[in-house]
This record gives sequence, structure tokens and C-alpha cells, in this order.
Amino acid sequence: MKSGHHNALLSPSRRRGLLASILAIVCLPRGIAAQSSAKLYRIGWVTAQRAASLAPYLDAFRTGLADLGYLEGRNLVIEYRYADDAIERVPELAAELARIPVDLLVAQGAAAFEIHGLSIPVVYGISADPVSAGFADSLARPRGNMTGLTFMAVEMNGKRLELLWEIIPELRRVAIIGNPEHPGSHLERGFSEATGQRLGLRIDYFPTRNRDELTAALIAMAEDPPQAISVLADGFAIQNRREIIDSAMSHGVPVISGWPIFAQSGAICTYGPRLTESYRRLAYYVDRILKGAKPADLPIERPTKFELAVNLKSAKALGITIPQSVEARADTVIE
Amino acid sequence: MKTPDTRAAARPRRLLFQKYFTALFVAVVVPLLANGASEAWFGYRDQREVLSQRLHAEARSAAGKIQGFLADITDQLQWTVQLPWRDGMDERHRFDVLRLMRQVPAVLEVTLVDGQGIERLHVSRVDPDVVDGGTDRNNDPAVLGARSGRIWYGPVSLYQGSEPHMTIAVAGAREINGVAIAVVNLKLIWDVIQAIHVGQSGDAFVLDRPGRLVAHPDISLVLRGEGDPSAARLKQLQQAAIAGGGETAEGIDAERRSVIAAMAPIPGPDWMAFVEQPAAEALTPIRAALWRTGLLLLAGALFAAMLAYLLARRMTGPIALLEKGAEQIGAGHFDHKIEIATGDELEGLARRFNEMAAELAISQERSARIARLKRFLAPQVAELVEGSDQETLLDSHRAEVVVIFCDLRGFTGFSGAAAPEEVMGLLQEYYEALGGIITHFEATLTCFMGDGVMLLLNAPVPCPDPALRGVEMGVEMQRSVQSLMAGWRARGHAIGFGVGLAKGPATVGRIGYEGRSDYTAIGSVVNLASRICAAAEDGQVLIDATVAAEVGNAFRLAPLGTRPLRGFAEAVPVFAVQPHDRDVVVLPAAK
Repeated sequence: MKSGHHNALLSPSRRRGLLASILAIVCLPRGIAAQSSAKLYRIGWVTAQRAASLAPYLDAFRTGLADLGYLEGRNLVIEYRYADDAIERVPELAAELARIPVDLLVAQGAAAFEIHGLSIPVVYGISADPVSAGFADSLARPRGNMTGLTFMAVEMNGKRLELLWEIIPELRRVAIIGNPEHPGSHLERGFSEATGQRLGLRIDYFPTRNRDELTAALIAMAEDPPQAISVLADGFAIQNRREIIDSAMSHGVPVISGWPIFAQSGAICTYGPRLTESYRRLAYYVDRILKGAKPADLPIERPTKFELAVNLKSAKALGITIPQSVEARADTVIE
Repeated sequence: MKTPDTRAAARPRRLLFQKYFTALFVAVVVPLLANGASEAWFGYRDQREVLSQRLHAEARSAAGKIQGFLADITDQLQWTVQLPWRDGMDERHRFDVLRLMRQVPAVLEVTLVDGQGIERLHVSRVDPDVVDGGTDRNNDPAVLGARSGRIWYGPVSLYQGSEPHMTIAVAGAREINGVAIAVVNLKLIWDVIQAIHVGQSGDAFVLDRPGRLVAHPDISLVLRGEGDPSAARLKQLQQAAIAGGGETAEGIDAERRSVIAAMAPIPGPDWMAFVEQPAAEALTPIRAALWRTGLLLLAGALFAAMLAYLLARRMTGPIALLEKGAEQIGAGHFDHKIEIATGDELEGLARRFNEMAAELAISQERSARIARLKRFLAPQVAELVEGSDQETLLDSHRAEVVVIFCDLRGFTGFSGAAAPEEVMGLLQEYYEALGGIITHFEATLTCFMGDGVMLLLNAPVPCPDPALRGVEMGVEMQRSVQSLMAGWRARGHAIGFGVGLAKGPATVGRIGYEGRSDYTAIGSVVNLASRICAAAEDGQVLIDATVAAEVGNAFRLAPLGTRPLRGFAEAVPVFAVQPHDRDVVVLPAAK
């Protein structure tokens, strides 16, 4: 009975039109408001490394931001500060960013350890265990005004030696190239040595703080080649990866490392967390904090996806047969 | 006293408008409201039911997706217990496990136990692998559980108090195939749970039986582990949902939104999948429907008010016009016309009013005329003259008339001596006595002259036997006045009464001016009657010869011989009527 009454008052199409115009009236101002209040966010990016070595990860980070609606040049400004391997410059750069000011600071890798006493929130991506680094009471409870994620690079060193041991029969001698100034480097070395001991390997450690030390290390290894080289991935290593790998290959020595970029440059295999995934994930923390979340409320995440990259071309060049058990696990196979 | 009167006259009209307006408005609005209210109520109930069903369907769908996630893992785990533990099969088992880990990223580590319950292989993504660990796992609840039910789900535990992990164990079809125990990182359910959207801003989450958050689109909530207040609110929602049976639960979610949630069980691990939608959003259709109903009711009420106003105006407007018209007519404005063109009974009523006013006008005019006629005609004659449309009777013409004069004797002396009240009292009695008789005999009264009266018969209305009638009247007057005079004389007033009649031709008609006219007769017969009257002694009724001739034997007449009368050249024969023979006068019937 009533619907008849309605129809008499307003035809359905007329009613829809009316409804649409009411909706338009209600929604339009909100839309305008949303547009005009589209805030311009300013974040700082600080790292101890050089720009070139971080390019793919920075891209992943920016992709993550874009996925969440942050576009550089539109609603986001990123202020980049590279210490260019001079880690002691990080506090100064961070303070500089804080003065701009920026809404928050993204500290890549070791730079996170150098930032103290800033009032702005800090998002970090670190290789080390954040609890032992003193960044958190537990993964669930980050301390202070900082949170982020761990790349869990430390634990992976044992797994890498295990892989080498599986790939190369009669493995006895492995050389490790690492930058002792990279925080957590000693932990990586420790994990490597423990696994080596368990697998019955001799581990030679070559500290490479700079190019001179690297050159010296490569010369030493050329004179007495190890059966394999494990490179502890840090900015310095990434930067000089071609030289390391080419030198090793010329002496028939396979190289293993953590990040796929090494496999792409000729390392026989790499195993580690999917770093691009982790850098992309950093954008999530940025988003949450820009939207008002407290860093302490955002637990520290560990990588959930790991990546095994195998370079069959290098293996073939070295006359090494990659066992099926390894090849079957590979996420990326370079042929 | 005038102001309250007009106020009292004005008030009922307003009341009538209010009554009509109220009645009409209520007649439309009450059914409208009743209908609207019932529709709103039933609509609300239906919508709530629809909402509940929708949310439960979403919850079941979410539960299905979580189960799918777990089923993927257990299906893959099945492949690792497909083959028995025989010599030379170790490498094959390892291969199965590596493939599993490649397929299922959520699996963090896998341990294979052989038919004897001895740990044979442990493969981890992070920790070093262990081949032939040799640990006896026969008492491991995972092994026991898998053996008894093929698939066993362990409790949810938090790695470093943050990431939720769960152990899943799968037993092979034969005991010799052993058991595969996998540690699953439940963080990866996030991929599943974050893809579930309910409405615009609703989502899903998963709690285990003790209320620990297993999966939530906001992974931080899950990773915060135990003791998080936001997660505690979800636990309260869970309790509300369990308490409510199959009903939806209402509460506050992790983001402090007021939500409506529905639950569906996930049987394997004994978890519960929840979907939640902000109450504001979930109830939007209901609210919209209620608003729509409310607005339509309002529109209906306004329409009803308008309709009632117009109808009440239409009804009371003519009534006000009628009232005003009646007032005008009452005030004597008979030419007032009530203009109502409603085409209904009210128009008919107005017409009746107008007709009534016209008739009243005619009637009043008539009664005015009658009143004028009554000045000189007997009331019945006046009405007769008026009604018969014979006013021409009053026009001047010559007629054979009987003229009757009567007056009191000795009145002038009396009035000079007596007190004015006494004079007027006496005259009052005298005229009252005469009036009745004049009226009775339908005589035309031409004029009063102090104590004297002049009457006509046969004019303006002709009557049969005017002479006899005149005599009878004269006798009756004499008798009546004489009986009065007995009293007067007793009071010592020497007053007499005489009557004279004459018949003859005279000119009759109205004389006077506008608004003030009398009927009279002019001619010698008038003089004659006057002189005869003057000649009459107290108690006498004198008549002229003409009358005497016409009365004939009806009365005994005493010829008094001729009398010299002033104004008449010759002496005139005069007769006296002897009334004593006829004490009772038979009055002729009035016309």
C-alpha cells in the first residue's frame, strides 16, 4: 500500500535521480576536502652506503611507497643522505635531516646504529638481530621511537656454508670476505665459523675495510686459492662485487653470498631473505607512522620469504655440477 | 457586552476550522504513521536478518579460505610421508622435503620421523639441517596426534613473543611411512586474511580457541603478541560471539571501531574466523531505509496537513460566508446575496439562505403594508386587502358608504375637572371597548377626534347590508359603553355617549403624505352622520332615513321627526333605534 503511495509521489527513476543528487551534495564537499588536505609528506633516507649499491633496494622501497599511495613529487618528498661509506658521517646527516625537518627518518642498514637522540620517528632495516642490538625488548616490543625490520642476514651465513658444502664435494677450505666495520659483521663471522666447525671446514677470514685491504685479500687468495669464497654482503662488498667475483672465477673459485645481486654478477649461488621484499615492506612502516602509529606499536618483522639464486653459467664455467637437491630449491636460476 | 459577544461569535468558527483540520489531518496521518512504523520495524528486522546472514556467509567464506591455506600445507606434507622409510630412501625423503619447502613458503622447517618414531631428517630455512638426528619422538604429541588422526594441529606459539607459529603433523597412510612435522609461520596467513574485505571497510581476523590473535589484516597486531589491549578487544568479541550462539556479535574492534561481527569455526586447528564490519557501515542500508521511510512519512504528513488545511478552508470558508450572510439578513439587509459556488450542499444551503432572504424581504414588506392598513382597517380586513392584491380598493372612488360617528357627552367638562390620569384611564377603557367592536364589525376607522370616532362601512371593502351592520354596531357600542358608564357614573362622572349613522354616497380614499396616510370619506353623508351624532342624546343611536329604510324590520325604530341640522338647508328626518327589543345582537359572521 505504501509503495504505491511512493510511486505516486516519485517515479523510481526520478527517485534515483534525487538520490544521486543528494549523494552528490553529501559526498562532493568531502571529496574536495580530501583533495585540498592531501598532505605533502617529507621523509629522510639516510645510509652509510653509496647510492649506487642501494639502487635496486631503494627502488623496491619506492615501489612499496607507491603501492601505498605515496608518490615522490606528488605527495611525498624523500630527502636522500648518503654517507658514501663514511659511517661516522651518519649522525651529522641524520641531524641535518631532522632540521629540515622531515616527518620521519628511514635508516638503511648500519646507519640505524648511529642515530641517537632524535625526536622524529625512525624506521630501520637492519641485518642484525634487533634485540641483541638493543633496539627492542623483543620483536613485539620495539624500544623508543624506532622500529623496522631485520633482514636476518646473520643466521643465513651458516646456511650458505651448508649450501657450499652440498654443492662442492670434499669441501674443506672456505675463505670469508667481510668488512669488520659493518655492524654485526663479527656475528656473521661467528655463525660462519660455528657452522664450518660443525661441517669440518677451515675458515679463512679476510677483513676488507677498504679497497687496499680488498686488493690484498684477493692477491692472497690468488696465491693460495680456497675451495670457495663466502662474501659477507655489505655495501662495500656490493660495490666491489664484480672485482671479487671476477678474481675468484679466474682462479676457479666459486663465490657464494647473501643477496641475489651477487648471483647476477656471477656468484655460483646466493641464499638469503628476499631483500627487495623487505625493502618494500619498509614502506609499510613509513605509511603506518605517517598515519599516526607509534613506532613502539609496530613490532619488528623478520623476513618470511627467502631466496635461493643459482647461477648455472658460473657453475658450468667452474665445472661444478649443482646437485639436484639445490637446483630443486632454487627460486632463481641463471643460465 | 458587545465585545464578549463578538468574541464568542468569532471563536466557534476557529474551532470548527481546527476540528476539521485536526480530523482530516489525523485521518490521513494516523494510517500513514501506523503503516510507516510497521514497515520500518519489519524492514529493520528483515535487514538485520539479511545482515546476519551476509556476515555469516562472509565468515564461512573466510573460514574456508583459512582452511584452504592449511589444506595446502597438509596436502603438500602428505607427499613427504608417501614413501616408507627403507634403506636407500633417505635422499628421496630429503628431496620431498626440499620440494615442499620450495612450494610452501609458510613452512619454516620440517622434521621427518620414521615408522619407529625416530627423527630421521630435519630441514630448516634458517638453521642448519640435521640428517639422522636419531631422537626418539614417540612421545612427541605431534607424532602421537598424527598417528591417531592422520593430521594434527599443534597450539599456536609465538616465536620470540611475536610471530605466531604452529606445528602441523601428518602421518603417512602406513605406519612405516612415518610422520612429517612441519613448523608453519602463521604470519603468512596475512596474504589470505588481508585479501578478505567485507563491505567497504570491514575485514576478517582469526583467533584460536584461547582467544589469541592468529591472523589479522594489521599484521602488527598479530606480532605484538600477548597482552596487547587491541587484541584483547577482539577476544571480547570472540566471547560475545560464542555467548550469542549463531547470532552476530557487536563490540569494539582493534581499531576501536564499533563493529558487528560474525564467527565461523575452522575445525582442524580449532580456530575461529571472524568477519567484522563497522556498525555504521553495516547498518547503512537499514539507516537509509529508515531515513527514507521517515522522509516519506514527513512528506506524507506535510501533504496531509496541506490537504487538511485546504479542505478545512473549503468547508469553513462557505460556513463563514453563510454566517456573515445570516448576520446581514438578520440586520435587515435582505438584498445581501451569499455567493458560494462549491457545487455541493453548501451551495444549496447558500441558495436557500438567499431565497429565504428574498422571502423575508417580501414578507416584511407585506407586514409593513398590513401594519399601515391596520391603522384604519380591522386586522382581518387588512390582511384580506393585502393578500387579495386588491390594493386598488384603497384608490379613491365614489361609494355608497355608511358613516358612523360616536362620541362622549360631557367629556370636555369632565376632562377639565378630572386629573389627567383619570381622563386617560377613562379614555383607555372607552377605546378598548370600542376597538373590540370596531374590529368585530370590520368597520373602517378614519379618525379619532378626542373622544369621538368616525367609522365607515362598505368602504374600502364592500360588505353586505352595511346599514344593518352599522346599526348593529352602533347598538353594540351603545350597550358596551353604557355598561362602562354605569361605573363612571358611580364615581360621579356625568358622562354620556351618543351614536349617529347615515348612509349615502361619498368619495373615499387615502389622504395624507408619504409614510403617514389615513383613509377617509368626503361627502355630505359625513356631515350628516356627524350632525345626527351630535343630535343624539346619551344612550341613543340615531340614524338617517336611508339607514332606517334599509334596516327595515330588523330593529324597532322610533321616528323622531325631522330635525334641523346645521349645514343642511332642510330639516332631516331622524330615527332612533330602539335597542331594548333586541338585547342579544346576532352578530353577522365576519367576512
